[in-house]
Amino acid sequence: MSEKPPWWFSGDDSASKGFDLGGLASGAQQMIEWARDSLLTNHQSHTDPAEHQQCVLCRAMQLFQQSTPEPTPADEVAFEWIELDPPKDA
Amino acid sequence: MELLLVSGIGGSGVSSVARGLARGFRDAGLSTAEVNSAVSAPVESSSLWSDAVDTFGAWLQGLGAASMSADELVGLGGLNELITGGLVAEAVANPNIDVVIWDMGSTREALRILQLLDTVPMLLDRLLTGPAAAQLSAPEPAALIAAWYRLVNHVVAARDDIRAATCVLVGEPRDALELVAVAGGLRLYDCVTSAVVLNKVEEFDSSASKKMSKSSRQVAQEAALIDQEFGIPVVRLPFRNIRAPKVSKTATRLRPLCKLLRDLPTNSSPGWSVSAVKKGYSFTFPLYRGADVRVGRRGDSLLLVCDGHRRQLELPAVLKRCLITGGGMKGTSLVLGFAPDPKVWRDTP
Repeated sequence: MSEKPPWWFSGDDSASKGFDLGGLASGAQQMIEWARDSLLTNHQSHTDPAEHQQCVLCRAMQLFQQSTPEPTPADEVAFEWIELDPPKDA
Repeated sequence: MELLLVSGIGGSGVSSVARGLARGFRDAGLSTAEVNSAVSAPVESSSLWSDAVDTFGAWLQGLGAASMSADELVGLGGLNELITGGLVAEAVANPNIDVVIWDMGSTREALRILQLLDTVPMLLDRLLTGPAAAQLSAPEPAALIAAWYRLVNHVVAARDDIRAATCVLVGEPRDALELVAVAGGLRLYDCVTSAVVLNKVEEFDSSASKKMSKSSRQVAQEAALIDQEFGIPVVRLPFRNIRAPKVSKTATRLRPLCKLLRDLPTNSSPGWSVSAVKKGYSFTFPLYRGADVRVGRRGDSLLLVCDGHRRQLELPAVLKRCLITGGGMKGTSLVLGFAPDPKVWRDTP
C-alpha cells in the first residue's frame, strides 16, 4: 500500500522522500538576490536613515538604535537637590 | 515698552484695568493691540493653529493613535495658551503696533502660562530631535518639520518677549501681601512688575473727616508694603461701589500710569546676576522675601522652584565649571555660592 502524501504536500514526491534541500537552497539564493537588487542597491545611497522611512533597512537600523540606547549617565537623569540654608535678612 | 502684561487677583478687575490702559494708550495716539488669554476666538483662525494641529496630529499618528481632527484639539490643555503666546509674539513683531497689552487673567493663570512658555520650547526641541521623531508619519515630512519649527519659533519669541515685558498687577487693598508674592514669583521668569493697581479702594476725603477709616489706613499700609518691597508705583482706583466702571473713567484715572509705562525702557537684562567673590562666584536671583524655594542641578542646568513654579535655567559659562557650595534666601533674593570644580579647572600657576 503506497503511503499518501500529507495534506499540505503539493509538490512532486518522486525526487525525494524528505525535505528538498536543493530547492530550499535555491529559494534562499533567490531571496538574497532579490534583497541585493531591491534593498541594498537603493540603501547604499541612504546616508541618514531618518530621511528614508520607506526603506526597510533604514527603518530596521533606526529600530535597532532605539532599542539599544547609549547608557545615560546617572547625573543626567535626575536633578540633584541642593540643601539650602534657612532664610536670612539681606 | 512694547509688551505690557496685565494680571492680578481673580475678580479684582484685571480686565477692566487692561481695557482702561489700552484706552489710555490709544488716547495718547499709540497703536494698541489687546489680547485676552480667556478669549480663544482668534486662536483657531491663526496659521499657528493649523501648524499645531498638523504637528500634533502627525505625532499622535506616529505614536500609533488614531488621527485627530482640529476640533478634538481645541480643548487640549495648554495649546490655546501656546497659540495665544504665538499671536502675542506676532503682534509685538508687527511694526505698525506700538503697544501690545496681554490680559493674562488671574495671577495663577499668568504663572501657569509663563511656566508653559518656558518649558515647551525645550520639550518640543527634544521631541523633534529624539528617537521618537523617526516615527513621525506625514505625507510631506519636510512641510511637517517646517510647521513644527514655526510653532517652536513663535513660542520662543513669546517667551523672550515676556522676559522683556513690563507687568502691571491688579488687586484689592486686602490682596497686597499676595501681590508681593506674585510679583516675586513672576521674577522667576524674568518678568518685572512695574506697577501695582489697587482697585476698589475706598475714597478718602481728607476735608470731610480728620480721621482715616480703618480700611483707608489698611490701604496706606499695604501700599507702603508693596513700595517697600519693590519700590514701584501703586495706583489706587476708587471704584469700590461700581460693579463695572466705564472704560473712559478707568482710562482717565490710569492716565498718569500710562505715561509712566510708556516712558519705561525695555527690560533687556535677565533678572539674575553673577559676581566674583573671595572663593568663587555668587549667583543672585531676585524673588521675594519669604519665597518657598528649592534648587536642583543637573549638569549645566539649574532648576529653580519657587512656590511650586519651576524654571530650568542654563548656567552661565563660568558657573558650568563650578560646584554649588551652598546658598539660600537672603532678603528678597536667592543667593547661591559657587566654587571652581577642581576636576575641570586648571591649576593657577
